[in-house]
Amino acid sequence: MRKFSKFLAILVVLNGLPAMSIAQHNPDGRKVSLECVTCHVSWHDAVNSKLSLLPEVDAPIQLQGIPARIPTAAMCFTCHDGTVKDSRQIFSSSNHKPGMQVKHADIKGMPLDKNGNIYCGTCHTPHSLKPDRIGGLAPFLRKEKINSALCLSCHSSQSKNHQSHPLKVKVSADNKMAENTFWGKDGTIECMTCHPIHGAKGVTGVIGKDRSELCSSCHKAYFKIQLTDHDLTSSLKNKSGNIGPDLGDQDPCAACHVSHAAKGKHMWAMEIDSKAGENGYCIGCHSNDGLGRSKTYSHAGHPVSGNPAQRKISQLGIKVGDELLCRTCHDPHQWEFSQKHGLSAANEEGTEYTSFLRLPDDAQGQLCVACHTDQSSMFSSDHSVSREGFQQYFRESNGLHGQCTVCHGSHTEALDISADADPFTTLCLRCHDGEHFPTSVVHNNHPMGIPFNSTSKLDGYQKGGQTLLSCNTCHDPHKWGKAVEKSKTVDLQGDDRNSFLNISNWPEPKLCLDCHANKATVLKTDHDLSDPTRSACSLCHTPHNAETQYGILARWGGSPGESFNEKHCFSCHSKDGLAGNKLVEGYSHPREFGILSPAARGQGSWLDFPIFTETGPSETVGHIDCFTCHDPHTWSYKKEIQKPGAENEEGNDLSSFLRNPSHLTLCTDCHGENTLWKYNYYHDPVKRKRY
Amino acid sequence: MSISKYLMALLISGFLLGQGLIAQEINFSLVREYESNFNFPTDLCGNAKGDVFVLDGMNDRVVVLKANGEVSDIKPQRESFYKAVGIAWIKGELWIADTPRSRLIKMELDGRISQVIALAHGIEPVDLIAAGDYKVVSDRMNHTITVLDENAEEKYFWGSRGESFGQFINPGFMAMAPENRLIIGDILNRRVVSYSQSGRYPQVIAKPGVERGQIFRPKGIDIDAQGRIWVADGYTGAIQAFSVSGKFVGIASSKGKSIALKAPMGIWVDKQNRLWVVEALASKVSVWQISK
Repeated sequence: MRKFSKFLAILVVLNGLPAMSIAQHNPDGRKVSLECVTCHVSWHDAVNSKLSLLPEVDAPIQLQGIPARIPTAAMCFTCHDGTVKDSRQIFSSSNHKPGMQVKHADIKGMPLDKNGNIYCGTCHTPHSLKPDRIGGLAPFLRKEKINSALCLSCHSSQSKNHQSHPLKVKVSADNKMAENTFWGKDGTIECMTCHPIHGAKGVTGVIGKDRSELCSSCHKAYFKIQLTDHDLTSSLKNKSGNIGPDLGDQDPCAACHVSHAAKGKHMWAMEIDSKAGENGYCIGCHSNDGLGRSKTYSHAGHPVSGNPAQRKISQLGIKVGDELLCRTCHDPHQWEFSQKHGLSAANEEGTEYTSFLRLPDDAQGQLCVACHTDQSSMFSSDHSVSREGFQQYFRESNGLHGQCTVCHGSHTEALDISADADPFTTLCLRCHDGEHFPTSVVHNNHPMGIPFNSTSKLDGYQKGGQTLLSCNTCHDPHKWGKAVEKSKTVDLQGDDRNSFLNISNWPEPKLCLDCHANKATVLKTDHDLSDPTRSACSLCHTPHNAETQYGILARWGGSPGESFNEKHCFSCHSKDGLAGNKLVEGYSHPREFGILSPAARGQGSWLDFPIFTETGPSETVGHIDCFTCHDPHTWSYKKEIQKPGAENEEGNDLSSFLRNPSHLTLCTDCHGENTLWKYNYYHDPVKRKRY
Repeated sequence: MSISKYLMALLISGFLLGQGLIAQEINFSLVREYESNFNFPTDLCGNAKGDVFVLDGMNDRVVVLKANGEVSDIKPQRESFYKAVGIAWIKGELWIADTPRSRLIKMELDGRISQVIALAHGIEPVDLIAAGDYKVVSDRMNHTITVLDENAEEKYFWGSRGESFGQFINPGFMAMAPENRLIIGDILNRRVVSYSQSGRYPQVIAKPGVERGQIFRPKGIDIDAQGRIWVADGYTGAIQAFSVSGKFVGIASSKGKSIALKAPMGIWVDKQNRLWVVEALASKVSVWQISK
């Protein structure tokens, strides 16, 4: 009986063992509380008992490659199956779900399951549970998600600025992201803003490869690119062959931008030529072998580098110091600046309103005058493309017809001209050719293409290292000059005060004298016939459509005389002319005799006594004409009396616009002692009467 | 002396039984498995005809596994019960514990929602069972048991968060034993306890642990015709039977080994002594014949 009592006592003690068998120790042998084994089931001392219901423990989790006896995803599910919390959507998602293979990540310091795959504990741990902490580690995260630290601990390569979508940038409040979107501090972008950690999709709002919904949530304005030539998913859609990247079912952004692992700044998808700088992004396609080869850039066009802005140009978003770039004028995301002209069908030829221009080259030349403000006065002149007939002409000629592009080529020379041609003359004659507009300049113009000496360094065109005279030497087509009829802006009759002259030619003929300074002697003489519209030069000379090429002499109408010199002089020195009191009668030297010029006779320069033929001056043989003896620009050959002492002063043999003193004339060469008699007969009416 | 021997043998047997060392391995044989595109189903229930209703909350549906072998869906015509956890057949009516929306909904077999009971106190119901004319609801949010009267009004509730008797850390699935004993799986306290309907007179059915006769994550609970309380362990995958007095009766075994299901949750034992069990992680329902 005693034995039995002892045995009974032992049984009673043993019967209490089940409760005691719940003792638990962690892998270090330290006794832990019951709470620990709520999850750390393998810390039960009974883990290896024969009665254990646990599967064999084979260190299911790896921490930095070392097996660790910590709970698996199955343990998490025992609570997150809906009975405690419901995370079934995570277990059923295809994104960061337990057992997901590590592919595009470099996981450091985060536990993985025994197969090296991620599981709940890779990112979550109840031991960092401080969900009320500022910055938030909820839901039980190992690192903060507010600054993308959690994501970047594995996806560090995705964080490089410019090669990935930037983080920590603030998004406009009118974004269209879903209400439950995760935002960083102050509404900034974090990884989880676009990438839900769990869910059916790796990226919010992406259908297949089409990110349109996601990108447009914040970048709606850029979606003006749709259907344009820059929307390659559209413009290449119907093309066949090896024409470019396969963009099927992708979004309009995909051709140029990737969200991560970009090849350059701006999340650029393609390799670019770093030497081309910022313009490389455009030239990558707009080069001879690129997708945009039909619109290549030429250095003959507007400069696009090395020109830092000197001032702020708000219309184009230019700050001081900004370099001029392709995107200064072009917005690659919008075909037409105002969207008023509708979306372009792909491959539509651009106009001055479209062509991805930030501003149009319209009647106000908005795009160009944003920088070239001083040229804007042209738009109210005869050179404006708004002028009647202008548009029609250029449309018929299939040319550009913007206010500025009508003459200027942004990317190439506006005209196809040979290397030897004068580009300015060629350009001007496109309109001033005598066929299209009244101001033609096709006959007897001021000599062109010649070297010249300009006091104020007037421009011309360059050839052979020389500056040669061209239209732009005298004219600035952007500035009409002094407005005479203020109420009228076009169809003006120009004069010396305007006419797009570089230098006003009135009241003094400063433009003419800029090169012909030696002709200034005509001023204040009787030949200075300047009036309220014309300068001293303009009564006798006209630079365009003159009567003669020689001297570009003005038209003389029905003036008497046999030679053009006589007709020109007698247009005034005639009975009804301005110089009616200085008539020349019996004037013509017989023309049947050829006269040798002084040069031909070996007696000085031919200009000492110029002789003439029917076509103009001759350096060898000709006839004597008015200008043989007279220089109409100089009152006297003597420098001290080059200007008359008083108005209408009577001339004598020292003045009277004579080139030389009488004794130096060539007359005596032929006429000998009869020279004076003959001179008087022909030139002095009083003395003639004596004979 | 002979009496002593007899007593000794009896005590030894009792001890060993108490320790589960010679507890019966109750033979289970697999009858059938249903996959039916389940997505982490949680609970099931059956009716007198033998039709089984599986709550496939992530798919927002109830799948009917009919006694004749047919399988069909009941999709709610209005009102979603996405992520609902518990389902019960109560007096010919199908009730769903619409957990995240704090309500119980009655769904007709054509999908029509014919009654909605909004629960107070932010209750997030995990399971519901009938107690006479009353309904009993377990609540994962407040760690309480709430009793509704025949008019679906809250009659009373009891329990709070804690480890003492009368307290819970996440009460989950429930079953009603004879004499109105309420069997409750106290999930994170790792125990199964029976109470009176008013929450008094606790009786431990299964103690915490990871060995036979112990429970680690109590999930589905049901009582068979023999009065055995079957409990599914959501972590070990074991299905074990206990008596109403808390004695370990046996463990479901197949081919000599205790079965280990994949995250078993709701269970139901039909009239043919078959145990239906939801294997949540495997997204399937398996049917096991319990040997006599």
